[in-house]
Amino acid sequence: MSGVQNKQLLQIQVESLPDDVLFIILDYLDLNTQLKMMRVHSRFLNIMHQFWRFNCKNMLIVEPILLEDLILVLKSTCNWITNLRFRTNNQEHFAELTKYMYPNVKDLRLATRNFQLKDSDMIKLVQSFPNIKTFSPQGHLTGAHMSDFRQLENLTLSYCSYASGSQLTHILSSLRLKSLKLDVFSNKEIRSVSLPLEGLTNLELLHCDSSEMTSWFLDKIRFLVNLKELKISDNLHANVARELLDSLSVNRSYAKSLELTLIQSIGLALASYCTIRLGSVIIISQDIGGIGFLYTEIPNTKRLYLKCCVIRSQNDFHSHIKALKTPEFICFDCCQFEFKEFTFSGKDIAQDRSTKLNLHIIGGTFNQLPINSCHSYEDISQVDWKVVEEDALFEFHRVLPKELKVEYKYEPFLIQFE
Amino acid sequence: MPIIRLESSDKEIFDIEQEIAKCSETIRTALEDLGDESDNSVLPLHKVNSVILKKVLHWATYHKDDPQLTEEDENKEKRTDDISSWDADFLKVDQGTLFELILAANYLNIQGLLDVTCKTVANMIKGKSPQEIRDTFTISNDFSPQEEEKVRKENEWCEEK
Repeated sequence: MSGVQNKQLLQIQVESLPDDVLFIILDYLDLNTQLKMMRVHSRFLNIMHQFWRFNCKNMLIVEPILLEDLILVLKSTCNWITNLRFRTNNQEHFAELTKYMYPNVKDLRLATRNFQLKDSDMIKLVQSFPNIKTFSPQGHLTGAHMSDFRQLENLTLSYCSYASGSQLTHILSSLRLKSLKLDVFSNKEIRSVSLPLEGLTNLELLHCDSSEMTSWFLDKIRFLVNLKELKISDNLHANVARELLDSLSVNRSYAKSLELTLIQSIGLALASYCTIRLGSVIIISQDIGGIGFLYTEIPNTKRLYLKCCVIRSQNDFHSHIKALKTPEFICFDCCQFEFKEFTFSGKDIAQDRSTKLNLHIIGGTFNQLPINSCHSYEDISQVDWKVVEEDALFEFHRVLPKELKVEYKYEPFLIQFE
Repeated sequence: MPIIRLESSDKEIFDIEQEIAKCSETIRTALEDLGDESDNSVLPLHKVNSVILKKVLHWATYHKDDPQLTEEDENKEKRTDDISSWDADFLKVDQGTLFELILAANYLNIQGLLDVTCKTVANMIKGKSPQEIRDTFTISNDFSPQEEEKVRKENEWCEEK
């Protein structure tokens, strides 16, 4: 190496590596990460389709593609592909897809534009993809013929606009699904059937809406002992949430995390009903004053994340911190404070505590105007935080160490078990 | 043990046992072309500087007894959690060096080194958001917010949530 070099200028960048090397790296990533890479830099966006064409295990095929090219790709890869995501706006292209057999495809996701898949198309799909484990289709599908995928474990019905309760019952009676994503059934369909318990006991993942939860799963949830993740896509009534957490706690004592995104001030008191020990509780809500823990303890959790909350007064804030006696870690993430300065008294906070509190305030802003009003950026500035009377049981931080970072999912209700 | 003399792009000479140098497909082919004359000749490697070549030869010496990859190995599922602790230590280098090692392994056609360096990069990508990936590799975002949103929307239907 000669002399002093400006490393910044000369250093090779990942996006400047040659195609063949990038292909090797991309090959080590799962399809989701590959899709994410397309958003990182145009270099990846540009090579990804070529990569999928050469690397025949994962493939994403979207329009526009010429029929000739499609035929070439499908013919040359149908024996090797394991993951296929196919979106087309051309019925002829869909017909081409089902002309071949794909013995190794385990994961198939289909979407269409300009035309809709029908139940009769399912028969062709079952023949072409006999070994799939994961299936997510979109179209005017009822769920008919889906139980003919004998290996099916993960089913997403969320995009099947004609989804029928009796077809779901049939699927659950004949297959032992590990994951089921719904959030699609109308109240009429939900009322028309009740689901067979034996088809649900293998479930590890369930996504549904609050009506499906209330009518179909709530009375069975205690028997779903394999459940690792439960997601509900709209706000639950407080009573339902209470019953749900009660049922979940029958056979479990610990959940890794509970995330709640609350649009209105529905009773967050639910956290105080919950007897399950929670690794972390994440609450995303504008209005924490109204959600019930102003003077209420949130028990059973060591870690509490509050995201995008609005804290109106210094008194409120003081009461929050004093009330939360169990959490040893509290993070106010991107919260908005309607006061310019705040002074923590370490001694005062430590008074009612037996364990140390680590309080992290990340990226909070001071904003005097109501959150929904128009404001210019000049109105936003940092709050001036001070700590006096330091105490061993209280520590204030302005950064969040990597191991404490969480990924917010912004789901109304999400509970994850280990 | 026959020796081969390799010359880096900055004209430094490395004497190395042929057996070790042969883990490079490129060098092996060159040796075959040279035949018997190979003993004293110098093989110039225009695309690898001495710092990187030294590292490459260090890696090759440690791995000289590794079994050849079979076709079966190549068809195995792609894992990234199987990097040996020696390799992991060896690859505790800055990103510039890591990428230069990748380019050298690619040019010299050393499959084992290419795999393990690419795996290391893949591990640096996994589990991150696009912005975190950019931050990790100091990649500048060359999309406008609208373009980025368009790509995101385009892929939304098939991304696992």
